[in-house]
Amino acid sequence: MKRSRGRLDVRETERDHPDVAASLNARIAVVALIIVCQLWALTAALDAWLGGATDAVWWLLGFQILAFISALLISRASPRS
Amino acid sequence: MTQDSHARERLLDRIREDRLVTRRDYLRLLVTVSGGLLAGTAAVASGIFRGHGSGAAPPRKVANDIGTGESFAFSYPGDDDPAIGVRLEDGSLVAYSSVCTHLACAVLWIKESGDLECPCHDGLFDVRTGEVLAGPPPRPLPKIELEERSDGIYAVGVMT
Repeated sequence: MKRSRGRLDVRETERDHPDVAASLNARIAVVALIIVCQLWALTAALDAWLGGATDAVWWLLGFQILAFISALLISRASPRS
Repeated sequence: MTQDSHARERLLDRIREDRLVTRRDYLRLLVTVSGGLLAGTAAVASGIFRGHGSGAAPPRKVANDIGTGESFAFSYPGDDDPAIGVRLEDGSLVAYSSVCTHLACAVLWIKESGDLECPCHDGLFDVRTGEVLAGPPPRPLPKIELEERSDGIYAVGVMT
């Protein structure tokens, strides 16, 4: 069945390049790991807040900002880099 | 082409379309989740989650008098902040938020054992300090300062 060139064609091109797929897999794994750490940080921040340890909350917020920026940069990195 | 083969082709098309959720889409989704977790932590830091028994309030009369070994219930600092006060054997007065720090069940004074107990999961708190003695509560009970005045007992503040 003939398909018009469009989104599907572009995405199937990715599948033709194992190096691109491997890069994407690796980045997904790293970002997923960052998210696990962020989940821990969120629960720790809530616990610290309810326990009155506001200093710890601000440190954890800083960690969350760094983690998000890291995830963003990793996701934006060129797959061929 | 028969009707069956048309249906089969449509099904195959749908399956192919499902593949359109690519690795890049997953990556974008994960970054969005990451941003959501950041927003959640920012919300915690901004103070939108208020703990039971936290905050400040003006002094409030909470009881007239209380006998040794007896307890009384009141609300402080807000009307939605249940608290419990106890007159100890040595005559001193103590008071805490009566919301368990585990899952927010009501904390009760057990005169026989001399402890504050959360019956939901057998959490025990020291009546003199509010510290956790046993069970799953992760934090001590917020302590409320009481003052005995000529016309009764007043709650005057929350100790953090």
